[in-house]
Amino acid sequence: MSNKKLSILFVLTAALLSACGGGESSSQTVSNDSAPTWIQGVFASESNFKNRCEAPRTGIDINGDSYTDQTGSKLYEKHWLRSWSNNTYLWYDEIVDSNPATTPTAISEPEDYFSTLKTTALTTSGRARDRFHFAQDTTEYQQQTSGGATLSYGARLSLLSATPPREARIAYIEPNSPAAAANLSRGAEIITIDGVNFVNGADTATLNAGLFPKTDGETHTFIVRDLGQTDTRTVVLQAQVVTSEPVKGTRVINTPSGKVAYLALNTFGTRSSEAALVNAFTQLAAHAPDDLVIDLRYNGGGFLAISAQLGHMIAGSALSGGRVFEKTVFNSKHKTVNPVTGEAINPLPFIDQTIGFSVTASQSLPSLNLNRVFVLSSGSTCSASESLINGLRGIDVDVVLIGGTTCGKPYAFYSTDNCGVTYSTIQFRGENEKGFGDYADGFSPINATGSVIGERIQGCQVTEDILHPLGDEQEIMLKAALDYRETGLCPAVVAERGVAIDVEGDLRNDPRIIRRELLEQIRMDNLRLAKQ
Amino acid sequence: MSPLKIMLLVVALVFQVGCGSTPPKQLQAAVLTQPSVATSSVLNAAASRALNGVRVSLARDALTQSSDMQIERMTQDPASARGLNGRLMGVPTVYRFSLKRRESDCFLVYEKTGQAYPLEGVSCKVSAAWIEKSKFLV
Repeated sequence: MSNKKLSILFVLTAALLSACGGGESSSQTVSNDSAPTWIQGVFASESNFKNRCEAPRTGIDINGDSYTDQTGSKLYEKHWLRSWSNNTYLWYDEIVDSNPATTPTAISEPEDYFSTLKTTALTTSGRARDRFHFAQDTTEYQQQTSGGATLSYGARLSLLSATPPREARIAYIEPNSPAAAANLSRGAEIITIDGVNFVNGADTATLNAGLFPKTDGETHTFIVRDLGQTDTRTVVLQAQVVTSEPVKGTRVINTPSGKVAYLALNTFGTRSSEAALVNAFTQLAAHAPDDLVIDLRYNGGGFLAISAQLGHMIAGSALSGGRVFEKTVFNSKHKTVNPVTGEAINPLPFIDQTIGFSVTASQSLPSLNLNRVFVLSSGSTCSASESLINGLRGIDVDVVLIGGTTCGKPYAFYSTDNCGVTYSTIQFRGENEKGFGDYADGFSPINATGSVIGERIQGCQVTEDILHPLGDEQEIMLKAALDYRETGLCPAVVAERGVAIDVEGDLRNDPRIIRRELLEQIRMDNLRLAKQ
Repeated sequence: MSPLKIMLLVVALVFQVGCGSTPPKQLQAAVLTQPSVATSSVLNAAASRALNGVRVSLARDALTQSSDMQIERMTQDPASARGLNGRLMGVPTVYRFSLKRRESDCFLVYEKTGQAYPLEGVSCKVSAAWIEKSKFLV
């Protein structure tokens, strides 16, 4: 890796660690002793309001440093949000400027005021363009874990129908998890949870409590039917914090027209993803495959640098050496200098060496040297996964999309703490080497149908059926990729099983679930909601 | 040194070191022997204390295969904001811990400060890797 590439990574690292600074020159002065005042369209530097808190924190933070909070007020906190958004929000000129002191009672809290500081523009498909505006307690944001672990049974559930007759099947299992210990596997269907009929039962609270445990050690009883079986069986699952394994499988498939490598990658979001990919590509490269199918249907993204490494491992040095993986574009006020870090804005290149996330740094990465890749996709294919698609297209690698429309997140931010709340506001867009980054509705196979259609690219729309193991040549999405590769033809498009919300017996009617995994899971499974 | 002082010193050493079968009192790298809900709870609390109160959720299999552990910010998306953490810039901040054993007691050591946090009720054993390594330290 060149020094330039390394320096870019260091810049990114420094950016991650840095506090929000910068800000524009002030045309409004703020005294430390007086309440901030509002003049429409005039924005003082956010540094004037930073850490002026209604409830200042005292003591030591996660890094052993003293908190720098000072006595302030909610008004100060709102003025910080207003100035910070005006300075760094990607669509700052679409924010309606309102007086923080006179906002309605309903938005008296800083977090509520923050929710108003965003664009209301819609995408071509009619979705909100900014669906990633988020505030959370800093203690929640900073929560630490090992190995990307989360509290679960170690089984990802795919809810094929949320309303009666409901249908839920297991999409995949984490190794060494409670679900693995119970010999559950992909395709297993849930019949009852804690005695309540899953298909038609009215007690949605019990169903949701069993599906989404809240505490380590919580136990629930399931009756399941394994794939291909007629009999059911009872399993008792105890929730625990389960380590996530990024690569769920690799294999090489011999076809009449050559070897096809298959790789399922479920996340870029743990440091172990780097080591897992290096191992996988080292194995696959030994077979010198003619094509690669990379399964990103469950991959919601993660570290962009690992995605840039994967791009190199697919395309190799001849195609990606010295090329741009992704350019960072801030708002029109910041064309050359990153407003958060104060550093010059440099593009992220394809990365041809290990970074040191989970393997020793500065080793050459393996590569398959391919100019075409098949990507299996769904609505869960998001962010860094979409960057891979876009980055490869930017250097003219053919990306063939098999599956559903991806989630549509070409945006990112530096989440920033103020007074104990961490705010995430979109600050930049990623573009590929050709300057393309306009995929707020995601990427769609060229023959896609449905309510949300993104940037159409070569490929086939295929709806997952979960009736075969991942990596099985008969698994519907992999089969479509292999068939398309041979014939150039797509299977007939099957309408997605969209479900209406607010139907009696809909699991999503539980208010608790609206903000929990089930709604997310439904979206993850690419079942478009009728009201979207 | 007088003979009396020498004898007192010997007695003191015997008291301090004990018989030959007594385990050494230095901290030895260790791994968990009985991971459980209770063990996870004690480990989470110790790591949280080391990080000044930040919530920690360790995997059940953490420190079962290796005495070293690195933790990082949980990047699972909040349910209402899918994709929020999908594009992470730079490299993560990592906090390093290790499991140590002294006699029958287990400790979680925060590498940054060197502080050892006793793990009440947790069972651990000296790691095989440490035993192998210690052969070359004699």
